[in-house]
Amino acid sequence: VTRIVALPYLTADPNRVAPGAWIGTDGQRVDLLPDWDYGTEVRVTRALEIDLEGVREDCSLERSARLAITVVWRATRTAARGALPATVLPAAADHWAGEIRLQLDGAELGGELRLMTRLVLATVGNEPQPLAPHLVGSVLWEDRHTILLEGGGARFPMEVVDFAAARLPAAGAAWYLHWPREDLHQPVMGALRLYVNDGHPMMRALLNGELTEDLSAGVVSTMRYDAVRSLVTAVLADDEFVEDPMLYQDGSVGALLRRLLNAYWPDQSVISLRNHATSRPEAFNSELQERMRLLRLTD
Amino acid sequence: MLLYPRLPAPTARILIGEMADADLDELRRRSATKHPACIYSPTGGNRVDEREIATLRTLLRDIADDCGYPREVNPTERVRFDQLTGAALHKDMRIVPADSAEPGVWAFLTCVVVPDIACWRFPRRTHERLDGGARNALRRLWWRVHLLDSPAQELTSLLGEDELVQIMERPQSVLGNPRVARPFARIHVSVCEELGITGRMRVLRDGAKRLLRLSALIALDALDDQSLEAVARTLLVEAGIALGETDGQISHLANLHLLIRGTDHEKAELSADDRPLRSAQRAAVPDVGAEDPEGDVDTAGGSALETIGAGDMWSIPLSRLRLAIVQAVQHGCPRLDALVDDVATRLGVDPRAIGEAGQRHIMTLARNAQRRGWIDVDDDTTELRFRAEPSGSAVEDGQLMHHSLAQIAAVVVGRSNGDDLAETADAVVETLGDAPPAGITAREIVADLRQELQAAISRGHD
Repeated sequence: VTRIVALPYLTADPNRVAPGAWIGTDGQRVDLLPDWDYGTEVRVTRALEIDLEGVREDCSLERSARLAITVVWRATRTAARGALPATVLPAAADHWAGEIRLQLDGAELGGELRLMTRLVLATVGNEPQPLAPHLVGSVLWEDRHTILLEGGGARFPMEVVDFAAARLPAAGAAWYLHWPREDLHQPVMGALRLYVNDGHPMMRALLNGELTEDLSAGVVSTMRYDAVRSLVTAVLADDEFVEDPMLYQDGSVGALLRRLLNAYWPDQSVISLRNHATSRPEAFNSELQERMRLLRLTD
Repeated sequence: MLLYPRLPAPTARILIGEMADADLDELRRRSATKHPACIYSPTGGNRVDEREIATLRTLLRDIADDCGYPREVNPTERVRFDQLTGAALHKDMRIVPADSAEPGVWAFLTCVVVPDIACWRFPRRTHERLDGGARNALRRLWWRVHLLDSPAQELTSLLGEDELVQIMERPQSVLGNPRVARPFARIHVSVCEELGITGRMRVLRDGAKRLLRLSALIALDALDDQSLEAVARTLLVEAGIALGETDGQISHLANLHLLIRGTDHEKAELSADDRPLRSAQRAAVPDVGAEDPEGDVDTAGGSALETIGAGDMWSIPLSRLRLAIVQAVQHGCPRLDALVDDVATRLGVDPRAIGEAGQRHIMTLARNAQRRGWIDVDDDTTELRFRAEPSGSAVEDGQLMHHSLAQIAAVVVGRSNGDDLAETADAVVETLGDAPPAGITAREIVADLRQELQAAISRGHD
């Protein structure tokens, strides 16, 4: 979602800062930490090059104004939030190149780790110009990156449980999708979950790795299709959602569904999809099978 | 650190259904230290054993007994129960935040271990208090202690329930950072005490809104402690004064404070003493944009800029900007597409120096004025003009706009001309012209303003 914020002061041209990718301990760019658990620290670094002279020019800042670089981080699942203490960049330099390092205790984290790198005003110059930023901490440039912790689980949380013990409605079922149909604003991580029945022979075999590769891929493919189909069908019948799918914040069930629809039908509006799904449900379902590549395991 | 069992959500739903009609004795009989449906996090830490869960249960029961269980709970006991329970859970559960963010953990404790206590504390037994979500009977207590309390100070015991909810219900915002939330809460309490404010809750709510607006512009998380405290103090004093919560004697001091170093907005609030204007002014604030998960807001609204506040550095250029836009419109203004150049000229700035962000901002202010019904934009010619006959709320808005413009002009001119009020008033009238559309003239406004300021000054001299 593009959100235009009209800042009441001049900001830097984005090209004044050349940010490197966020790099993990293995030296590779990090978008996903698949084996992460909360006993694991998150350690990432990135290189940055800043045209300080250009930034000052864009923002009408004098040479006596100082700039600083900081990283604000936030974990969606725990709502923990913090910031790297600001590094104040050298006064009067025209160019700065350096590296920022972030090291976070895993116990605070979960879900998505959102990193906002920000170039801010550290000290105001002697004679601030009109329209130049005047407040310490004013954001002059910003860049956002998300690292998905816990791999696939963060995107579609899954849990194994014995349906009979859990008293789920049908103890003989293979899986059960739990989701907050009545409130799509709820966070995916807390509210949406696919429960897999440990008491179902085929599912237990799948979980124990006893199925052939094809069979296991086929079961997973079917499970995915079924979950997405129930979500999509129900949400297209939800007036609030259809009216304004952009209403839902990132990380919410509504936003996940918006992304799913957009991924499978990039060329169609939610309203036209709803019409399609209600007028020709059979066609809609088989289209979804095609787009999700149901049971297409090899090609 | 310990890992706790998690009750699957569908199972919790069934148990909550069964709790609906059971009396407290029955619920206590059903209480257990395990449930066959429970699962654990696959990684990290040792699983808590049943003995430890039983110990925790005893602890919670002792607290509840001490607070009047099973008798119907009164407000004082509720507060005490919440404080003691929050502290006990945070200290004794030895659970990490990552596990504590898991709804199943809290659903297990609430529906399996202490269903009696949960239903006693929340007699209406609504789902949100019993399932494991953010408002769960126990979960919310653990998290507020985690966010706000430190060995140095237990802020949760200084804040009322409503105040805690205000802070805790914005976990995705800058208030989710303990480094921001703690000084903000602490200073809130002390500002209200210093100013003798009684309705603390409204001050906090308003102060929090101001903080979130500011967080779109300022990297608050990265400020040092001293700057953070200064920002929090400014915003909360502004909030307290804007809401008129100060009593007679203090408001007199506050007025003085504002006259000496207040922002335009503070001054506008100060002299806007009649109710319609005040309410219009208040109403003008929330419509500037929705909060997003970052706690940022769309700062597209003009009024938000006036309320940003932290210190008065913002106010001069922004007031000038708004004033320039109004001048542009009033003096036979330009078309929308020519607005930026016109405004730049009035500001004495090279139009190229305004930059993209500045241009966007000017356009947003104009659009905002249009949205509020202050000005019309002709769709064909993109010509701008003040509304000839504003109606309904637009009348109030129009008055408000002229009122605040006069204030702004007074401050801008006043700053450059010294403090001669008569001179200021004339300069303002000259600047704005004397024929605004909403039935109230700039001269009248300035006369009121002058009276207000003089009264405030003489009160200050008493």
